[in-house]
Amino acid sequence: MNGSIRSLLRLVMLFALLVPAAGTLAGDRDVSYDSSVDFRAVKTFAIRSGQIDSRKAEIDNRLFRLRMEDSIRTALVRKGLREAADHADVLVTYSVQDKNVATVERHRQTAATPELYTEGVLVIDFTNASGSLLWRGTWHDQEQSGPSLSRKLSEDAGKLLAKFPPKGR
Amino acid sequence: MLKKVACSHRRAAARLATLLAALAAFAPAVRASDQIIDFDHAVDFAAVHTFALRGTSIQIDRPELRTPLVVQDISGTVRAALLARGLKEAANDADVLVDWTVSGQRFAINEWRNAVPLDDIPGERPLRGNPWRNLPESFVEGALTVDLTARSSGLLIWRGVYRNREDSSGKLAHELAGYAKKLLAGYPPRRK
Repeated sequence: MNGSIRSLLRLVMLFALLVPAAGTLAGDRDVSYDSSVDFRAVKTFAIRSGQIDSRKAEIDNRLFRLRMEDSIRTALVRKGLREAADHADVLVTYSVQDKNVATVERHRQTAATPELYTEGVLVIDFTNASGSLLWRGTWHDQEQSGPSLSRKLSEDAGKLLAKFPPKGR
Repeated sequence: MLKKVACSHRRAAARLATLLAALAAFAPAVRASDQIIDFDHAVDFAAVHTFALRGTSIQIDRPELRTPLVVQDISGTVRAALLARGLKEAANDADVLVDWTVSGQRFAINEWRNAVPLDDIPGERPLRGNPWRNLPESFVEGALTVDLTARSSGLLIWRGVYRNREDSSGKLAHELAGYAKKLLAGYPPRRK
């Protein structure tokens, strides 16, 4: 193959990798759980109201809560759990925090440009009836706008719950 | 002949590389404006026939923004958009109450080219020690929130938020009606 065509293909591949990275910033998750719990015995859940610590209109509102709860519900039902109004095996709560971050974009060839992004933290907790924490999932997300963060956080809830139940537990 | 072909390939590769680099560099900037519409899926929006404009709020303390002209401009656009969708304005007993809020943050660029906030953020610790508060405004991150609340239940049933970065408060003031128009283009919501 001609060398210049090969380098052209390499550039196209690099671009395909770079563009999504430029639009969306990083997401990072962590899961921890009580290893003495047999999660296979968890059959039912109830969602409790979440805590939202945000000044953003697109996050701190009833409709965001509904979307978040719907995302959690869908993920758990997909895992074979059933929502129960009373005496659920686990109570699911969530909290959302966000903050704006200003940084400087230095990698461009032009003069350094200030960049703003918004960072959100989603925490989903599973507790038992006595209030002991059984499972905690934490997701850090960075997006370039509040609407984008709002959209992603409810999607992140589903991705975070993909890690439930812990393997072999 | 062969040399000519190789040369034109190299030139084409160089042009494409420049184009791709430019696109990659501008990709984040394109994302500066963004909007989201959330709504209550349990509500039948076809049953919403009347509206009343209720609250208006401009939370950025700038003379360009805190003017009756901006209020008129945004309220007029919201009213026109809802009327165009077949709703009627009703002074009493409207099905939904419409509120809108302009919020945002002004920024300056400091000597290290960091973006630094110029104003206190409502509800947060005042920026008393902010050494950059007298710098000139470099850009504003503005947001328009339009809310529809069901009068009967008092519950928020539709919210649209449009955010964008503008060069100045004055530019933001002129763009806000456009934000309202874009948001209300998504009303009534379509169910999946």
